[in-house]
This record gives sequence, C-alpha cells and structure tokens, in this order.
Amino acid sequence: MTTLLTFRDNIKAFFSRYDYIITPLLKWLLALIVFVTLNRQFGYMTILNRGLLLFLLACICAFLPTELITTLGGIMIVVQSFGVTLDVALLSLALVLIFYFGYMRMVSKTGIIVLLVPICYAWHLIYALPIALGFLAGPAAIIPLLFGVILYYYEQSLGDLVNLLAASTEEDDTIQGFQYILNCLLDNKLLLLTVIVFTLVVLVTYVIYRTSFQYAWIVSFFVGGFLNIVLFLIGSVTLSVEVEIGSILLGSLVGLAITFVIQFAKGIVDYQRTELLQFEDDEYYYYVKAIPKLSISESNKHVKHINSKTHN
Amino acid sequence: MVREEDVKLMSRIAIYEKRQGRSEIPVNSFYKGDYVRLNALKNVVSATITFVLTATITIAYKLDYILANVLKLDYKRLGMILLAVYAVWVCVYWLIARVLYAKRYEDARPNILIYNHRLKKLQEARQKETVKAKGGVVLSDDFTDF
Repeated sequence: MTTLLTFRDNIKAFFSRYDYIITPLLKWLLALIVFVTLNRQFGYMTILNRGLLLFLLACICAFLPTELITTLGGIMIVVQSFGVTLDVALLSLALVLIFYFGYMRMVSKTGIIVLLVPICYAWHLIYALPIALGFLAGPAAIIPLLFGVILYYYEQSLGDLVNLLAASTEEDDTIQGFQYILNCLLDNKLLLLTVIVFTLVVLVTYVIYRTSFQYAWIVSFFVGGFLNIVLFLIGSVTLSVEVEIGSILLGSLVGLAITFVIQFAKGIVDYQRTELLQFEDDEYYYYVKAIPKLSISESNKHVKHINSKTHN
Repeated sequence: MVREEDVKLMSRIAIYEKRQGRSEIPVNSFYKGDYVRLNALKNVVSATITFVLTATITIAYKLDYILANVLKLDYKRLGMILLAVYAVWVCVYWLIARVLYAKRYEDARPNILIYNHRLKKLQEARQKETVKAKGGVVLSDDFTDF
C-alpha cells in the first residue's frame, strides 16, 4: 500500500511540475476522442469526417475551457443530422438547445458527461460510469448522464432511420423521420430501464460514499455494482426487456475495478499547479513562473555525497 | 525597484484572478440577495426556453392527432394544463437556481475576502514606498492588520 501511495505522490508531483503541458495535452486527447467517436456514430456529413479538421478542433479545445468540447460536440451532432433529413436536424437542434438551456447554463462543468456516455458505450464501459459519477460528481451528474443515454439511443435510431430511408423509394418521408425517431425513443423500454437504473445507482453510490463510516467508499462501489446487476435483472423481467445478462455482469465487474482505479487516482487531480503568470505595474512587466513546493517521498530521496572521504 | 514581497503578493493575486477569480470576482459586486435573484431570473428565462422547445416537439409529434381533432379539442382545458405545467416547471427551476447560487455566493466569499485583503496589503506597501521615496516617515501600523 505504501508503495502505491508513494507511486501516486510521484505522479502527483510530476503533474504538478508539468501541469502547463499535461492539462492541454489531456484536453486535446479528450476532445479528439469525443470528436472521433461522434463522427463515427453520426457520420452522415462527409465534410466533418476529415481527420485534419477534427485534429484542429481538438487543438483549439486544448487551450480553452472544457465546456467548449461539449459545445462543439453539440454543434457537430446538429450538423451531422443535416445529413439525414431537415426535420431530424431540427429535432437534434431542439434537443441540444434543451440540454444547453436546461442544464449547461446552470452547471456547465459536468456537461461533458453527456458526450462521455456514447464513448463508454463504444468501449463497453458504460456500467462503470454511474458508479464513478456517483462519487465523482454526485446528483449533478444525473441529468447529463441521462441525456447521454438518450443521445446513444438517439444515434441508434438515427442509424435505423438512415437504413430505412435508403431502403425506401418514396420521396415524401421528411415528416416520418422526426416521428420515427421520437417513436423509437418513447417505445424503447431498455432506454427507460437504463435511465431508471443509472439514476438510482448514482444516487445510492453518492449517499453511501458521503457517509462517515469506515470504508464507506468501498461499500458504495460494491452496492453500486450490485444494484446495477440486480436492477437490470428485475427491470428486464418487469418490463419484459431483453438484456444481455453476461454483458451486464462482466460490465459491472469491470466497472467496479475501474472505479477502484479512479478512486486511487482521484487524489492526483488535487494538486497545486505550476503557474506561468504575466502582470505589470507602473514600472515593470513581470513574467513569473510559480512552482509549488513539493514534499518528496522517502523512496525518491537520493543523497549525493560530494566529499570523497568516507564517514565512520 | 522590484520588491520580493510585492512580487509574491502580485503572483498570488494573479493566480487567483486566473483560476477561481474569473467566476468569483464578479460575485463581489452584488449583495447576496441581488446575486441570487438575478441568477434565478436568468434561469427562469432559460426554463421558459426549455419549456417552449419541449412543447414544440410534443406538438410536432402529436401533429397528426391535433389536425384530425382540430375542432373537437377542448382548448381552454389544454391551455390550463399547459399553464399549470409551465408554472410547476418554472418553480422547480427557480428553487434549484436559488439554492445553487446561494451556495455559490457563500463558497466564493472567503476567497474574495482573502483576495481583497491581499490587494489592500499591496496597495499599502506601494503607498509606503511612495512616501519613503519622497523622504517621508512611515509609521508602522501592523497591529491594526489581521
């Protein structure tokens, strides 16, 4: 355990020293993953499916607030929807605006969660997300998580619609696109089940995690994982929904392992940053680099003797 | 002349302005009640836009039914239901906004107090420097500092 904590302290020290490089790099990576995933799932406009464009957009996001990734992701979804039909594009625009005015205006920082959900679905990590969000963000994460789940099923319905439109020979199916998507979403019992289960898992994990008894965090993860499995099983029987039990079981177990890693890494994020500052007074311009004082862990301390004599 | 103490103070002020200060310093220009009310009002506008968009989607989705029963629908009752839902919707948003922005104001206050205190210290140090440069005598008033 001590070795692990020392390892964590060393990473923290490294992050603290090179924050001005690492933070933009991580933001760039996150933006690139989000944009590439969105374009893979909503690849209806060829103009947006260019690697260079996505790369440049990610580069811009690297130096600006994280909220910009969410905004650009929303714009991308709307533009991609124009490749299907006009009414679907308008529906996408309305949904993006509802999310922006209904949630992002108040709590902008957690808005990125909505775009992480499709990524987690693509990487089969979706069952880890509600448990992780339960202790990282709490109830504030519920709305973007639910919008993310809706976004995932929205994208699936859009795929079905595109196949349907490609198969049909009729010209007058503009209204049908809008109706088809909404019917798919409203009739989707799995979507309803996922929304209910994820809400409960986030809430329960958050409540247990915040309690003061010893090892509450471990209990919260296990209860979260257990709830994931049990609620999906109960829901599948009650709502007569076909769920992949094996995938939920495996997903929840992998999810549990991931949440332990996140919990371990959580302390790393809380570091003092190296600051590059510029300011001025009446007489001087100041270019200051403020480096935080770090405590070096025992194993990392090297004593160098500069005198050749040996001490007895 | 560059004074080390001044640079330290200015650096700390600049770090705050660069990080939390961006969102917290504007809070300082309001009383708590005004800040909470203003933001709650902004959120009522946002809630109205969200409601209008949701209602538009619902109407567009049910358009076939509405057109088929355009003469049979009880518009007075529909209007009342719509108004009631809107009132509940706005009330929920207003309440959430009040709680959220009151908390944000309270969270920002200690940081702003420290920020203001540092600014004051810097200003005082500068004034002392100016007095010294002009040949005056600076009386120590450290006991009044906290």
